[in-house]
Amino acid sequence: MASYSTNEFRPGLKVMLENYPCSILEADFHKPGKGQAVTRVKFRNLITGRVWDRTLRSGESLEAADVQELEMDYLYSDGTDWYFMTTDDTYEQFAASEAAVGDAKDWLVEQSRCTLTIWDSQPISVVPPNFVDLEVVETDPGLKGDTAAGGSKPAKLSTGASVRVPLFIETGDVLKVDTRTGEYVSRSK
Amino acid sequence: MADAWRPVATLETLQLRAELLAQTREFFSQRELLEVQTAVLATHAVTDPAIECFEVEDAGFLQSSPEFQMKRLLAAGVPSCYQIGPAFRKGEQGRWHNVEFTMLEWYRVGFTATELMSEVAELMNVLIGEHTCEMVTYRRLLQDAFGLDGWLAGTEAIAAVTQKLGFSSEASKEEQLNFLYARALEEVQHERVFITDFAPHAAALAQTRSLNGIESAERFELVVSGLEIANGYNELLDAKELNRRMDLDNRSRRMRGLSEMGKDEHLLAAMVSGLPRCAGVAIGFDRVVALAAGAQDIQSVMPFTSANA
Repeated sequence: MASYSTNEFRPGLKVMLENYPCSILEADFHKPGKGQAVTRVKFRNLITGRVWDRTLRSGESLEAADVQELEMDYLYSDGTDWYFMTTDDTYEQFAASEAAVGDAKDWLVEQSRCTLTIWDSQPISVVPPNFVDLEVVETDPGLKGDTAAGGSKPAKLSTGASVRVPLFIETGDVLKVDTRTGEYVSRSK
Repeated sequence: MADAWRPVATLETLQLRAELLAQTREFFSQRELLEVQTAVLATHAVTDPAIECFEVEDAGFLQSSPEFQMKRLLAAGVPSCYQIGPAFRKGEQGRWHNVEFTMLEWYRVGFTATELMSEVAELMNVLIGEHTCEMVTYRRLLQDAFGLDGWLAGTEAIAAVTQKLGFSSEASKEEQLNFLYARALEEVQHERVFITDFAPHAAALAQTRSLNGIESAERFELVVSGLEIANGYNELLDAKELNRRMDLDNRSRRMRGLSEMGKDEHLLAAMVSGLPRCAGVAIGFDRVVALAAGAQDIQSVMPFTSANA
């Protein structure tokens, strides 16, 4: 595996740090007038999502991390793993663990196009599409005619996720939800 | 990029820069310092293992500072003098670094480091506005920031602190102290502060003195808004000691796998002949302009940077 010297560090570069794949957020060269140069780096740990501050001696190298971002379609879950398939003509399947899927599991709809981060052939994170359509499976009865007034109530969606919805939404409605904020956007049907 | 030919600094910034240059010359002219221009390309370069100079085939090196030649002037009887000119440091590129930059350097014959600090503070008042300068010793700085005595702490105690801060573990004690010093500066609350009395390993070309059994270097740095602006010394006068430090530098270069640098015989000869008691200081002029302009990096106060020069 290739390695990168601190002078090649750029935002977005994926490297191994303390056995974790990390993405470089910032790298700043610093040198006192007298004394050795250092590079101050902010890393995002791609497994835990935590941000690490580290100071490396300039010229030091870190091993490149074999990390790729791939578009994949979500297929199904067997309760333990979530299965995805690449969208090119290889149709390669990947099984993502619950830890890798994380909060994305609330928004996974079959056939939806997700972005998976793959490290050494294992999915380590799943980003669902920005918007998904999900059916309401449980909510208080809708209030007729109340399409504009304020007020909201909880609704449970087919994936088990719960969102705040306007009062007129009924069980069986299909909703468009923003997965980045977990908020209701509109009624799809 | 289609626009890469364009200057980085705005016209307004270039005008400010010109104004600051004029004010600097006025400042020294009032104090009757002689403006000098020494050679930027010279046969020898510094031995400092942390500074790499550009080598020019059949000609020597682009100078990382005018220090050696200005000292030769002083040894030859030239009075207190100053210089504003280009300096080069290979590989130093970043927000506050550019491989070519402008250095303001001056020497005061008969001044102590303390007297020179007052003059630096006055010049800063002129260039970036009035503000008081605090004084903190290097030792106190590290004690306050990390509860660590840079003189007395053992290698393990120092390594324990640096590793917690995320510094690579296999660095030498001196490198670790240098790192802690740089980190401590970031935490400094004073807007303008002189750091004084450096650890002997960081003496560079300053004289050392012993106070209550603690040896320290008569070196100072001015830090403004956490940024290193000036570095000055009560200048070392002893040619033998200089020779010894140059040998130490070269030993440390060998250990780091760097090529050894020839010792500047002209400088050594000038010091043997006799350098008058003096204090000298160098200022990163681009950083001063950046502070005056409120810029977030030095590139934006330079017409062209190494990215498009």
